[in-house]
Amino acid sequence: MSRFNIKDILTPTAALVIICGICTALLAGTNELTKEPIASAEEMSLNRSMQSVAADSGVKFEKTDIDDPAAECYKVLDKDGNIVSYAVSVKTKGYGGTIKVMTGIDIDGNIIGVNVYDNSDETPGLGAKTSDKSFEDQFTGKSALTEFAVSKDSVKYPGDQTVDAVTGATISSRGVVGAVNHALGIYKNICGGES
Amino acid sequence: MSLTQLIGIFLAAILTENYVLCKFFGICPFLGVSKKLDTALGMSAAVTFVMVLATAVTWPIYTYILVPKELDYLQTLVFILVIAGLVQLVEIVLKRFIPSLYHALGIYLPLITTNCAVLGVTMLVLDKGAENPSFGYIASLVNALGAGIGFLVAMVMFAGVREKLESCDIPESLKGLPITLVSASLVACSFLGFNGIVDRLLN
Amino acid sequence: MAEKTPLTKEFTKGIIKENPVLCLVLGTCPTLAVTTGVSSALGMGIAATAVLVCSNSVISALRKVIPAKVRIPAYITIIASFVTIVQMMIKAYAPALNDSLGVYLPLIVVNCIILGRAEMFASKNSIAASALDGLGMGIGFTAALFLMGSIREILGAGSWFGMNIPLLGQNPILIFILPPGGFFVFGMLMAIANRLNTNAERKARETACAACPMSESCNGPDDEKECVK
Repeated sequence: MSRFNIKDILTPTAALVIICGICTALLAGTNELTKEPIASAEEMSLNRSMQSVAADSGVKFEKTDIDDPAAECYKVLDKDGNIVSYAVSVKTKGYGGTIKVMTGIDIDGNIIGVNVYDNSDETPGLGAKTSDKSFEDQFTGKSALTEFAVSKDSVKYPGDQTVDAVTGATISSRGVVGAVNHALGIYKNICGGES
Repeated sequence: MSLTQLIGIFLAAILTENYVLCKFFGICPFLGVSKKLDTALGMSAAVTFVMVLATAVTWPIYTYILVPKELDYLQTLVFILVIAGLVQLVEIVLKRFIPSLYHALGIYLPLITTNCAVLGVTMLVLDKGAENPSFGYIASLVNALGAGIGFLVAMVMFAGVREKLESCDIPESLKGLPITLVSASLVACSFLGFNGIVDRLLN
Repeated sequence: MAEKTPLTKEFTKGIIKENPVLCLVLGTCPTLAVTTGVSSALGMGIAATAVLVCSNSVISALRKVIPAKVRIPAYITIIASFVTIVQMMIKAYAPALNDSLGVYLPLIVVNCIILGRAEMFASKNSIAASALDGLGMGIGFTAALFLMGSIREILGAGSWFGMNIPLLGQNPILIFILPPGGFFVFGMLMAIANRLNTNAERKARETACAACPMSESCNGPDDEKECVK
């Protein structure tokens, strides 16, 4: 049995430390370079979603502080600074993970549109279909004062506020409808109170 | 986090989010060592152990060191090195102090570093935590344990299926891995049946 | 592999003869997980190819510098760095792809193809040969993913690259994009590959070990306890 040879331990350690150092430096450099584009890419996806459910005359978005970890509320302003509609983004639990839903509500209490802007954790072809136009458009033009319900198997319940679930994706559909209802609640409580 | 929620996380990790059959993590050991029941058990026990240990170590590192210092882009690098180091450490400790356990699990330990289920679980629990702030340290550990048990369930079930396969008359070109994959597909089908079961059970 | 082979051969072998997915059965996790659609399959293939070419070149360049004792941690460090760089690039310039690949993008680190090629090829060969080997293996991996993705998306979602296919588009066979469909299509593709080179099957199993990172401590494909596959 030989004693530990200092050189045998030091050389590999030094080599590993140097490699780790270089790699970390490389990563830090790339991080600096890509920080801006990543931030703007994330902002773009939120902005695009807000744009798609905002009133036509809206040009500016202004965030309103609300005490709700699962939601964000934005006021949509026209070029003179008047509130023309609200956009409420809600995070909710779908089948595979989080679904993010943007709901646009005008000042008269009607839904301008619903946009499911992140459902990448849902099963493709099933839950992911909640971002299809045909599903989202079911909300358009309906009242924002009554809650929505999911109707399964295309059996319409009385009343206008039912939404057909995506076939085979009841959990995801329910998630989206729940998020829209959550947004309606926020509209009533906070955004609605101001107008 | 209430106890019911923790049980929900645990059951969901085993049934609806089964790492092997629903998320495709750790397919290599799943196909490789599921031939016999005892090797399947040994491998899954080792994986479960390392999963919980790795989550226990990487969670605080990420939350209390990487995030405050804005170094979260080092996540992949740090995690894989921590896991590799942990596996080595566990191997040495077991060899020195619990030789019987080492002989049972030891041969599987080196394979675990490259098992994507371990790295996967440490990263996924952090994703869940980012989306839902109440999903904290304890919930992450429970989730990791559930993921390991889910791996075990899939392995043990599949070992049973494969033992039956041994005595079957299989077309020449399907022999070996192809028929194994087709049977894995059928086992995965059965797990589709668990959709939504956990949410309904607890609500 | 010590004898001189033309560089073009290093490139072409990964595409068909030693296809990492269908013949060597490596990198099965991403093969099953991200092939629910063609575009994510292609994205994963390209990302993995980029990592493979970079890590193979760098490891080959450093093969005389890295001490043998710590080579595996050193390789893992290098691979993890490239994976993170690729991940940041995708996040910045193709955020939609980042969303669809999710956690499988950082998991390229533990893709056995990459560590396997580093250990078996890049640590023994010149930079040019290693880069070409990486490119060939990467293209082979991408081709297999593309094939799987096409089959699953066409049958399971009735579309290809998101474009609707008449007839199938109305009533797709959903199970193909669910997890069981992944296992099934993969099994069938391997059966076809087996059929095409039945006599080479035995050989394929041996080469599978050659690329396996654990082959040092393993007694061959019949050693059930050690073999990862």
